[in-house]
Amino acid sequence: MALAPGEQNSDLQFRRPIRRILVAAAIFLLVGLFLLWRIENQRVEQFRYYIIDLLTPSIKIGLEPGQVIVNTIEAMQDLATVYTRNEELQREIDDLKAWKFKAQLLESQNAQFRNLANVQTSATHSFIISEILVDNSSQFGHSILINVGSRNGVRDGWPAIDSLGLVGRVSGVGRQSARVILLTDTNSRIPVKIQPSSARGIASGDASTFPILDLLSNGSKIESGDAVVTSGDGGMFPPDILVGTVSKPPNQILRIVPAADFRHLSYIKVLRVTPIEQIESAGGLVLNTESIDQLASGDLR
Amino acid sequence: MNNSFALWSYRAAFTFILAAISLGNLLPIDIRPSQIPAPDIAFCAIAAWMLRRSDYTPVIVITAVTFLTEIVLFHPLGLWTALVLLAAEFLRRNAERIRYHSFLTECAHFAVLYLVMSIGYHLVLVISFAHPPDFGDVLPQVLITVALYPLVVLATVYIFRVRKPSSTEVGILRAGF
Repeated sequence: MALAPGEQNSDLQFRRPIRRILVAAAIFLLVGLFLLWRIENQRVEQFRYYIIDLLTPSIKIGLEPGQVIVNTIEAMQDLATVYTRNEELQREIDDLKAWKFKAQLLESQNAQFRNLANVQTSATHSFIISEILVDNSSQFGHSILINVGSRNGVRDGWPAIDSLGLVGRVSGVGRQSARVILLTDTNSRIPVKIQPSSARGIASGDASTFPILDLLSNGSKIESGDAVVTSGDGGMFPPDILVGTVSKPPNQILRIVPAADFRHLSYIKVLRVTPIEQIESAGGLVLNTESIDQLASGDLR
Repeated sequence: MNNSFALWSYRAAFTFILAAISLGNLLPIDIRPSQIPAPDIAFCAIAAWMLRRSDYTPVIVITAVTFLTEIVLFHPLGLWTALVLLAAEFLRRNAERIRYHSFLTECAHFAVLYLVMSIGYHLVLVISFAHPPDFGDVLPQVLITVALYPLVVLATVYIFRVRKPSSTEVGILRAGF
């Protein structure tokens, strides 16, 4: 406040030391919080999700103007390329029509064979649709926050996909927000297989746009453009979710071109994964343990 | 009365700018990992305002915005905010001294301060086994932040009209802070 200098001198004698003490206390508290975060990581992370849940509505409103500006710029860019884009799409549509015909043929054939072989396919996955809230990528990792959480039944470890392919894995769930670790994060390791050759591998992120493909078996038959899908190994992810295609530069490590469109992500589907039955003892598969106990005690009717 | 209104509107503008910078970082535009490390524009703005008018930069705003950013970005909690708070108070105390040197000296001060903060931050993370990011990323990030500092100063001075106080104002400021 702009008081006259004379008025302030008496006030100042108290204000300066108090201010200094408050700042010192704040620094002390923050360092203490950091130590607590190192020691009691789980609880402090819960506190973090609590705060994020509180902030979510205001972040949403705060991002609105930025979103409008970005959309306007993108719309203008689109306007500039609309003619070439249109021609490209027209050609693509012609291509796809041929494919659609082939696909219909194959599908009916497939259905017939399935019928003949009496194949039991696993139930299709159900999913929760969410919107991206914020992009919280930084030098510490690549992740996004989505606007669904434990309130919507989201669990840790579930896969997140966009309309094209795998985006990442849910890691950390708040009440109305969840964090998705992207494929490209340095901590991301996803068991995959390559489609025609069915070679197994691991897709590991290295903070670049294209995750590394580490093969577990001999990779001589793998070609550029082969499809990479999740293998379901380890039981974390359901099998056969599209991850991307193989890129095989000469004399270099294999990489994956993600199918998901990381440039224009907006809606994310979180797949519900039902936990796979754990087989713990030999008998468990045939008879469940409860009925064995009941048999032993003799009251199985 | 008029003076007090100007002061509070500048403080509000400072809060608004810091919040806007932090929100800008969160916009989910292009999620692909970038090869260029993100500059710390928020700290540039804090330093640029602080060195011009330390009465426009309430310590509570700096702490709150930095801490909330740290929470939303899933960074180690508290550490960077503590460093920014320390640095801000250091700048506040030395603002008068640094202010009347050349602009180059100011940039040098900023560069050294930010370098020390970044290395200190990294060191504490290493010591506490907190999975620090690659040390190779620290220097490019410092360089790009320092390179952006003059631009942030230009914006602060010419867009937001935050200027070094005239000699008559200095007396009032000295009494207040």
